[in-house]
Order: sequence, then C-alpha cells, then structure tokens
Amino acid sequence: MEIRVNICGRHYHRAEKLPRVITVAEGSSLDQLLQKLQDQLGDSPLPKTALVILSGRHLGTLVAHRSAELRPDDELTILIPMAGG
Amino acid sequence: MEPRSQHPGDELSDPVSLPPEAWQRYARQIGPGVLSREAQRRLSRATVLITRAGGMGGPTALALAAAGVGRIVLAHGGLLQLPDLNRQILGSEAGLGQPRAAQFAARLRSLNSAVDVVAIDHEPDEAEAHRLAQQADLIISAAPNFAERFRLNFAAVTTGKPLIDAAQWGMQGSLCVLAPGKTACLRCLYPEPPEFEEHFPVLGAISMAIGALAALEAIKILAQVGEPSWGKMWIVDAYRGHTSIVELVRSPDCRACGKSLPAEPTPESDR
Repeated sequence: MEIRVNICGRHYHRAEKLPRVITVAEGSSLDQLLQKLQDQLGDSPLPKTALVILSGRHLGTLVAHRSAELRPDDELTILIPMAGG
Repeated sequence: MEPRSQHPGDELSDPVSLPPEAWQRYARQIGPGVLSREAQRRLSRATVLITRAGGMGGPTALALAAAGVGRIVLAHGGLLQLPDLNRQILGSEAGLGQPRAAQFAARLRSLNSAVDVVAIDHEPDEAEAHRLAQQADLIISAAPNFAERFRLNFAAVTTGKPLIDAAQWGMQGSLCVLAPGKTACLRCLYPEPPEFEEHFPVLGAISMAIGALAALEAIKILAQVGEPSWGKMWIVDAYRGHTSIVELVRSPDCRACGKSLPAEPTPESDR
C-alpha cells in the first residue's frame, strides 16, 4: 500500500530527494515505515525530537511515540521542530 | 455615531465603554460573523503579552493593535539590524542600530493611539515571565529559541493563561493554540529540548502569514467569537503548498503540566 510522506520544519529541504509516496506491505507498522524513511535519508537522520503525525493524529516524537498499524491512504508527517524570531 | 447593533443583547451591555471615534474606527470589523459590539469591548479590555515582536510577533502585534486590543506588552531585546528588515515589519531603516522594543512600540502607537503599548527592552527571565503572564489575558510566544519558549509555556501553565506558540523556518511555519491544564502544552510536544539555530533562513512572507494567524486566534479567544483552534497545531508548508491541522495529545508525564508530577521550572540544562 502507498503512504504519503511529508517532512516539514527545520531543514525540510534535505528531504526533497525523498519520494512523496512510500510503498509498504499490507499490515506494516508505523515503525517499519519510519525505519524505511531513515534508511532512505542515509547520512542525514531525522532528529529524535521530530514530531510524528499520522493522518492528523499526533503520536509523539521519533524517539517516543505510540505505535500504529498503517492503513491505505495514510499520510505521515514528520515535523522537525522550528523556533522563530 | 455608534452603529446600530446587529447582535441581539448588545444593547444590554455597557454602551459607553468605548468613545464614538472607536466605533467608527472598528466599523468594518463589527458585524455578523465577525465581532459584536460586546466582543469589541472585550478586545479593548484585554492585555496580550508578546515575546518577541520580530518576524512573527511583529505582524501579530500590528494586527492586534489594528483590531483594538486594549493593551499590548512587547518584549524584545537588542538593536535592529539590517538583516532583520526582511521580516521585522515594525522596524524601519531609520531605526537601524536603535533598540527594537521602543521603535516597535512607537510603530504600534502610530497605528492606533488608543492602544496602551508597553515596551520591554529585554527577554523576560522566569520570574518576570510569570509576573507578566499574570497581568496578561493571553501570551504569544514567538521566540527564536526553545529555552524562551519553554519559559513562556511554563508561565502559561502556572498562571492558567492561553498560549499561542508561533514558529517558522524557511517557507514553513507552525502555530499551536494551547490552553494549559486543558490541552497539551509545549512541553507535552517536546519533552526534550529540540536543536535549533539562532540564525536560520526565513522569508518574511511566511513570518507574516503565521503572525497573522496567531493574531486571528488571539482575537477569537479574547473576543469570545468563532471557534479557537484549542489544542491544535497548524502546519503551513508554503514551500510545497500544503497545510495540515493536527490534534495535539497531552502527555500525562509532562514535566510542565503533567498530572502525576509537580510542575517544575525549566532546568538550566535545557537552555
């Protein structure tokens, strides 16, 4: 199944080369998708404090988030914390 | 001349709390689906603490002053520098090298002399943030670092005041509308202080967009109109033309607002 992926926030441009849609097997978990994402990012790992949002649901941070089973048409948003000024 | 009320019940409340010229000034924002006269009076009685008043906080302050918020307390240290002018629209070329807070406050007063504008020429420490939060009806956090954001968040938690947290980077921004004790707080989102850089790329247009959204949320809360985005985070990805709204989840173990732990000040190690 196909999962849309948005990487937002600080240094969002580093994820520009990533596909906007990632294909995973039916019944895959959120953690499996996150691992796949990290593998594709290679030398630029996502920060542990990034927020994990699945189809509008706030699940925690990369290092501490609730588990979830992926469903077709889910959208994963990773928000790398921004500040301001 | 005060316009005739379009909102039932308005006539029953204090009809003389604002002078006639105020009703003329705010005539275009009083009407169905916007503000009632009583809502306008609520705004005029409200105090908002904004720290800081640069890229996002500046446009927020401008919109709140234009809308007639009674008192705006701006906290912003330092001197205005040329690279600030791509987004800090309360500044001007004439003010380069001058303290930011005083000139930002003067700009607001020039827009609306009826607003009581208080300029604080530094970023408040924990004790001052708490005192200022006590005196405010709402807090806008638009600081460039997480230590300051957490300080304002803690002041909001301990005083029970609403907190609107605005953030930006590049052509993206986020906005959280938080009610301490009822919704998630900023510490629920970020148990550990995130990395950040003091100097980061940002386009003034996204600062202004997020700042304007912060002002809209503040006006809804203070005037008691519409539906504030309580407990939600707006993510505006203007780079790709994508927006989303996220329902934030409160953490029972939160170090600031958690039920099982006494609220603690932000430790020095997080700063």
